[in-house]
Amino acid sequence: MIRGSFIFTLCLLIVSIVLLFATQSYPLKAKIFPMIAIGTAIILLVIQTIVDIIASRKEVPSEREKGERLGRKHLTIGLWMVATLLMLWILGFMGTVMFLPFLYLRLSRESWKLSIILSLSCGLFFYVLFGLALKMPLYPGILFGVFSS
Amino acid sequence: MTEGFLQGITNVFNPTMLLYMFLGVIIGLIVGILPGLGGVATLAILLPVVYGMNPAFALAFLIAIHATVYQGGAITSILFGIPGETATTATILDGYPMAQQGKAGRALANSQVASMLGGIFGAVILAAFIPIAKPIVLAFGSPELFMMAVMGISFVAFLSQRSTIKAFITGALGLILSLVGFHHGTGALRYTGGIIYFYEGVKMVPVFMGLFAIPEVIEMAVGGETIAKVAGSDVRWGDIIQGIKDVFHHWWLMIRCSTIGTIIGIIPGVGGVVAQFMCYGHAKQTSKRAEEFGKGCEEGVIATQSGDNAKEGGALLTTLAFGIPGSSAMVIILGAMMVLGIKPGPEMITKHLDILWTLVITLIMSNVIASLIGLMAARPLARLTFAKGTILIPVILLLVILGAYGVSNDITDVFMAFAFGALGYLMKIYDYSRVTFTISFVLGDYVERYFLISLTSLGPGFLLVSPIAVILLILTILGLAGAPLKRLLKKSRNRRQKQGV
Amino acid sequence: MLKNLFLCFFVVTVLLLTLGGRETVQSASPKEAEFYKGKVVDGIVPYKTGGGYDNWVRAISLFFGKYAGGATLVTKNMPGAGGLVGTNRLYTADPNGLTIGILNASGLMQAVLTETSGVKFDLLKFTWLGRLTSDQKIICVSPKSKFKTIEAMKQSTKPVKFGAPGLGSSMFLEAALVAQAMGIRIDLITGYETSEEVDLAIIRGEIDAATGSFASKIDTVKNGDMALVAQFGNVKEADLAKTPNLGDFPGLSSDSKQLLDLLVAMGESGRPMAGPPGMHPERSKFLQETLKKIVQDPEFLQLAKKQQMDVIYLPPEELFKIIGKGVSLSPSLKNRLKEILAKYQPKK
Repeated sequence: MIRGSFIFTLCLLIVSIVLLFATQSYPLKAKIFPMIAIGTAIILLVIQTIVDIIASRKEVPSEREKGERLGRKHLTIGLWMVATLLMLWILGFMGTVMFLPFLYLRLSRESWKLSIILSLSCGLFFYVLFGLALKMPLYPGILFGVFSS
Repeated sequence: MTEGFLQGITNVFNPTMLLYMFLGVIIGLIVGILPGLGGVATLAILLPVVYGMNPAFALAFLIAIHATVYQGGAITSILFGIPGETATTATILDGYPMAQQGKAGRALANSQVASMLGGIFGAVILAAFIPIAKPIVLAFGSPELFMMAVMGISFVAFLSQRSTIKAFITGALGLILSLVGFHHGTGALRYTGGIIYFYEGVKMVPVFMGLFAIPEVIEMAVGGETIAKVAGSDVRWGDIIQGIKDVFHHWWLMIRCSTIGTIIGIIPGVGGVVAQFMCYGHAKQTSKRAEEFGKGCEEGVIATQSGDNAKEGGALLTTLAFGIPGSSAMVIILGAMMVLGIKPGPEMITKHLDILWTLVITLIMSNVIASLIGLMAARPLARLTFAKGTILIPVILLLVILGAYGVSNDITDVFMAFAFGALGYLMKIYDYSRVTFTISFVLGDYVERYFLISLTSLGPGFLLVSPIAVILLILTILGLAGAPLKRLLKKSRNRRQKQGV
Repeated sequence: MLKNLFLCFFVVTVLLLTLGGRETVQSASPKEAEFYKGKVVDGIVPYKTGGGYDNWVRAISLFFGKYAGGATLVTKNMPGAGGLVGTNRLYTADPNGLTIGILNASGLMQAVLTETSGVKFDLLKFTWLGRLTSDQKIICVSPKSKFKTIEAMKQSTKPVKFGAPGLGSSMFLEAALVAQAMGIRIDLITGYETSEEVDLAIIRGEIDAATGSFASKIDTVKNGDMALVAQFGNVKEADLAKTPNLGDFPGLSSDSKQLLDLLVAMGESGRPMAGPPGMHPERSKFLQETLKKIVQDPEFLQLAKKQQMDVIYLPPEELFKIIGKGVSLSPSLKNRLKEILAKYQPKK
């Protein structure tokens, strides 16, 4: 059974090797430190990979594995993160500030009252503090950005 | 000398002054609590407001804001596992686990009192040492800074929770991350992939936010209902009083970390973010309960917080003695001083002694006021950890977005934060230490930079030139040898015990 | 039924708040002052909060409303890539007159001349609004140094150690050009984070000398922590009356004079404010007038003085000439420049 931790280690190893190749083209002074660091990383990652392979051969289903296995709940929150980024991109900052709490609370089956109150309070809070008081440029997002041109 | 002091006291205990100080403290606390809103940006925004004010009031106001952000930052770090300030990230390491064990009240008390005492320590050093500030500041040149950064990175050796190999791996990777960008020595662009966003390196705030805050959000969504996993317990005054007692119990630790913090504050070449990790590493290194670190040991909170606040006294020392700002916040405070007609340098000690004392006393008073407010708010705030996850998750996500965005008003930072969030979560569940990654990330650049400067300006024997550097080298070696030595001693003691009775 | 009502109310509030959170749609207006009334103008600063450039824009913003028909100038920090990120953003901003910025003209000229990657603008195409200040430059050493004069530096047996933050910094270029023009053998030590750290390194004795702007270094000199060796540039500062100006040195070759001219031109371009290329003509004029009035306002001048910001205004047309001179170097001079820089880069 391939454990997630093994895959992760492997990915880190691949990334390090790629970085190693990238480092080759740098001038000497710019190369020394990165090489030391990448070299260390690669050696240790190889050792770790071997350790992981040996461990997975033992096939002892431990408590820890349960926590490591990425299940449906992970997928859900992962999708939420992606959705948040999309919201940010499209609706902009204020839009996300209002919509995210609302959507999340509703889809977690909280009451309408709570969802709306929280969203509006967030909206008010962020707008007053950052938009008005601090005059931060609140990213408008693609949707509302259209209006300004 | 004493008239300056008395004048300082009179200045500070003026009602308007106290009002401004109080206002500054409140603003500082709020700024600290809100991730992303940094002390520096706030100071810059408030600078115009300050222009028309009476000089002493204005300066006190600014200092009050600046010195107290760590009390605020600690609150967010402990309660939510999100760095309220980049400088309070290390507080998360033990503060958040304490909150999860239902000990939020105690952790908060730890942080507020440690901050207060650390801040007072820094202020006292400021007052005491300003006449001899110059030699102190000048004593720390490139070789010394190089050794200090090396020592910091050596902490990687024993800051790991479980797997040492994995800690070193992330340590190495963090170092590489710190080298991304334009290399000043050779003009080479390293690991940027041609993307201009990376030219000046990967920004700290999105990385910190992502690595530490987002994995907590994911955990909350997947696992628990509330942050505090211990059901049924509430925050009692007893917890808070215990927290206060803790700091006095560990008073020697607090003094040591305040010293470290002050020194780091004095040195202009090193950012304030470093102080927390140096203090944390030192605390773990010297603690009898080192295994508890990372699982909710109050020493971890006390160490980082006292170091943070102490460094402000140090930074002010360099700024006032030399007119050379020790940090970006000091740049602004320096600017304010110039606008108000106060010239730092020898004039401070000759002409403006009363202003100096005003600043020192303001520093002390604002730390005290901030911590008192923090303590009083500890109970209601700690209750938040018992709030439902469904409410907290979107709010925390918004704060993370704000935090990442607020750095340079660049939406790309938010995407970076989320990317590091994913990485951070994977690191968390697969046992790769995020702390060692962060330490290397913060210090890696300094190591290389000061190594190259020392080498080119002083030649290969640069370490031997400086006694301080040699001392730091010895301390580092001792630190590295210390842990395995301790283990060997323990093993042999256990063996002897088994054989004995 | 109630649920739906809630939802409608909610959606409407969202839309209103979101729209309110950004600039309002502008309407065309015959008189520019009326156009700017109540508007928000973005002042891009390509550096972090708290730096010199930041201070300038914030100081100007305090007087902007007064002279710009009631508009508000909001400072927007866009740091990155040594100023290139913010500069690029200004260049590609909407030229509707609501976005302007401050630029590090000499730094940008340097980036253009050395063909730094990341330059996505044509320096000549910006809509120049006026120069706020010009940087008079000085060369400093430690008071205990044996290199108190240019002569002493020239005669040194070992290379004089000059410090600079990084390869792309103005201090690096200045040191290289000064060394080349005046015939001094130097070692350029780079890697310091800020120019203040370079100062400390000089005081500490780690390095020997550095160039720097008069405004930022004069206090340290007056405190006795550093000593002046020479100056270059065309601004007459009272405090520098006794300091030799590199341009006045006798016996300079024409090559040296050319290099010094380049240095001076870059310093002269100083800190200008500008808008994106092709900015709305009438509004550009209005903004130019506004800037001119602000820098003449006695209160502004007082504020600037307190912050040691020397106001040395130059109108846009002359500024454009200086910048034009700076970027349109003859190919031979450009190559010379590259040669010189390559010489002082650390050995590969």
